[in-house]
Amino acid sequence: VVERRQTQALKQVAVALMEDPWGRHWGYQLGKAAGLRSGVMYPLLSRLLDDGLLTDGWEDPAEISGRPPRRYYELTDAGRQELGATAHAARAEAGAAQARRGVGWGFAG
Amino acid sequence: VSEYLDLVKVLPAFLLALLIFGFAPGFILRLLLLLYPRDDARRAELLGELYAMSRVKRPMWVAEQIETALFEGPQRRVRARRARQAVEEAAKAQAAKAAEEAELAVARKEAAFLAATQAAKRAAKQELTRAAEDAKREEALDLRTPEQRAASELGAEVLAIINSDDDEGWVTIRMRADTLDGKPIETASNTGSRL
Repeated sequence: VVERRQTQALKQVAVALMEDPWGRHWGYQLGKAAGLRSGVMYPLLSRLLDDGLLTDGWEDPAEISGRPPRRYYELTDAGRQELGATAHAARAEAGAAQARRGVGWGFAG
Repeated sequence: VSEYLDLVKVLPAFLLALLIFGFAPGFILRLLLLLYPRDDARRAELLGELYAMSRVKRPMWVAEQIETALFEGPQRRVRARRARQAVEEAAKAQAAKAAEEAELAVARKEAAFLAATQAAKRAAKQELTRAAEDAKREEALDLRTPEQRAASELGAEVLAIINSDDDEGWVTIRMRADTLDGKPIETASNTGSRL
């Protein structure tokens, strides 16, 4: 088991990836969804790949024309488990922070 | 004419736009990607991303990649070089080990050959000794007469002893032997058998 530091960037990427746990994620789209700069996101994706939480692949050149194929990332089972937990914790944290500020949903009583 | 003049006025802006949104992003990104090792997947990945997004977004996105490339590229180059060196060193170590093993095998073969040669010499010597001993034993046990032994050494058969008591100690025997073409001859001889 890899002891991973729960950085803000990791949480943001985890939340973005868990929006579609079974789908393909593209670097640019993932950066936009996570709100991260490329300089932070790509090294993070590399680490997650090395740790076996993500797998990668390339678009089929037969399906595209006029541009080079893009690289995509997919969550592995381990990734869904670990990053799912990270995303869940991040969402809960964000909900609690919003509740403390008195905005958002909050809880009555 | 005024339309042409207007066109000339907007031409620099058009060229600038062409440069910023058309030529520059791809060119600059390719320069940045040179920071990565040659076979690094990030090179193809960032190029693929560039051409998948709209032209308007490209200049800013490429500017953003300066950080990515400066942060990741040299680091990956160093890592790739270290990995390559490790592979080369492992290959060298393996080659050295193989050479050492080959040398050892040759030395073992030489030692085995030497041992075999010595054993063969020893065996030949023992055989000679045994043969000499056997000859001596046979000689000791030989019940033939000296004349018969002398004839046998000449490869002949003793027919009769003519004279075994001459003054010089020679024995004259009559014997039969085969010539080279296999014909038997009978002769008397006193050569080769001094008593």
